[in-house]
Amino acid sequence: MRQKNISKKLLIYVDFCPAIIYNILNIYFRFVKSVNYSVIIVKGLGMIKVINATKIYENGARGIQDVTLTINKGEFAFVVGSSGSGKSTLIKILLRELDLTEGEIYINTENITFYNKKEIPFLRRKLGVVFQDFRLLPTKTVYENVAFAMQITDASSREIRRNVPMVLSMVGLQKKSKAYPNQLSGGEQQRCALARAIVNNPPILLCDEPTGNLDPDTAWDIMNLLDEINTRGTTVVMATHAWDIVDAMKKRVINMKNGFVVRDVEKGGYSNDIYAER
Amino acid sequence: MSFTSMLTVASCMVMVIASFAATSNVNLFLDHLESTVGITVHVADGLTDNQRHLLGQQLEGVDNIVSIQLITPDEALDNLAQMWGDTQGIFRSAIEGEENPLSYTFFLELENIRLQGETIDIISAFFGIYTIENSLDVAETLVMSNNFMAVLGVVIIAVLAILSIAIITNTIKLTVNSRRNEIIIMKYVGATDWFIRWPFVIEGVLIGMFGGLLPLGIIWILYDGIIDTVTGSGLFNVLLYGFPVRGSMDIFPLIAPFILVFGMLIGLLGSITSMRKHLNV
Repeated sequence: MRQKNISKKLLIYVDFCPAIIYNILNIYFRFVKSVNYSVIIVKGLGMIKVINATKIYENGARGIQDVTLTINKGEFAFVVGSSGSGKSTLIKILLRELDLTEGEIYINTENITFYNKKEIPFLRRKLGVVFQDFRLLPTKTVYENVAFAMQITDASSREIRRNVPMVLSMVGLQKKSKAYPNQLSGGEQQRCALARAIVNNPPILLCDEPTGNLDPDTAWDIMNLLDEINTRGTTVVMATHAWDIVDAMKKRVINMKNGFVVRDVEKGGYSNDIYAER
Repeated sequence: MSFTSMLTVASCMVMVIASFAATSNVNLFLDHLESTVGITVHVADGLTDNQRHLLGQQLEGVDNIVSIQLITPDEALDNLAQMWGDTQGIFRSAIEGEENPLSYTFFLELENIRLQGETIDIISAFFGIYTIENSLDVAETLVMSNNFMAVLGVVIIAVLAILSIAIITNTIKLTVNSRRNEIIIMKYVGATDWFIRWPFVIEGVLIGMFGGLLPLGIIWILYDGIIDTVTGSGLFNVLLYGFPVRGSMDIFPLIAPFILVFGMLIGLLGSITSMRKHLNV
């Protein structure tokens, strides 16, 4: 049974914190106040902080192990690694589809580790999510699929009428708004999924292999859209195998292996020894 | 899929409704048989008209006796002659000129056949009775048959109802399963459990409601026609002539609310229970 980890941590919510302030605060609490607090600097909305996170499945398999990382507001981070390395587990944990075995997760300054069943839907509304297999509602049109994400947040019909065409226009689907998912190409379906993910203007966008089912050209269309969304201030976390995209985008790369984070570089390629992981 | 579910509900309800209608008619038939079983009281010879009248009044005063009918010796002889049918002329010529040996009799119709023994005990004490003919064995058999049929009817309906619940909930589960991807997607985009559940619950309730109302309406419309056909047939005339049959208005207004609530409840429970596992995403 999972135990609640009651660690003594002090979270400070700021948008900007130089390292020196961080160190001063740590010294202050540890040595002046003699309190065993560790200070964690947490930035504003769009921030993800994973602290010593471990997920062990019921069959004993380890999804992620002792993962600690911070993804700041507005950052674009690729999570890369071979199959079974823990990329998708990390995404599922951020979505609270899976519970952590150990550790903590903060999203937008909130500790979501022990969110109960009723709180999870409200967390997910703050996270846009895009999957490899699009996951569109087959009985709804493009417009209705995107509008659905707003309806569940109790948005007014006026807001829906205003926002949905705007987002569809942004992803280039304004002319396909009445089409059903089975009438769209893979790229169009993924653009629709992307429109659904961003229509509520979430501070964080989680993507689990969004280009996995797409041809290279279409995959680049999607990546350009994701880049555009990121430049507007949305934090993007993307699990992927697409080494060419990772290498070309020159964004932050978090490399996972056997559930551990083995490499975390600010502007990197798919891997240091770039062909070893492919 | 929803239409298939509704048809499944309807098929099960047809069995429940038809069983109820059949059981109800069998019980009515047995009740009627019970009402024909009475007591015949032979009056002692030599009683004056006043004494006979007094005896009649005493019999009428007994709680379990619904009605009394006085049969004179002449009427009794006529009845006897009629039993000879076409050959009653022979009977009549044989007794012609002889003194009527039959006595006055009272035929007593009882309210509750089960209390026949107690009623006989009461009237045995009355003055002027020669003998009492009873039908305790017949009464006992009829009471047993009626009780048995009542229990059997309840058991049949209960078994059908349980089977219906199993079949209907499984069909609704299939409907929900066929849409599990939809449920999972809704969960991913942040829909609350009740936001997802409501449409399915309403659909389940509607499936149950229309699945109940459809067969009820059809059987209601067809019932009187079926009864007319059956009672008008030669076989029924020979075997069961004169026996009452329940009309549609005696059965369906009674069963309609039950079928409606039963169908809606099954639809509700079926959809809620089958959704539970899909909501854990």
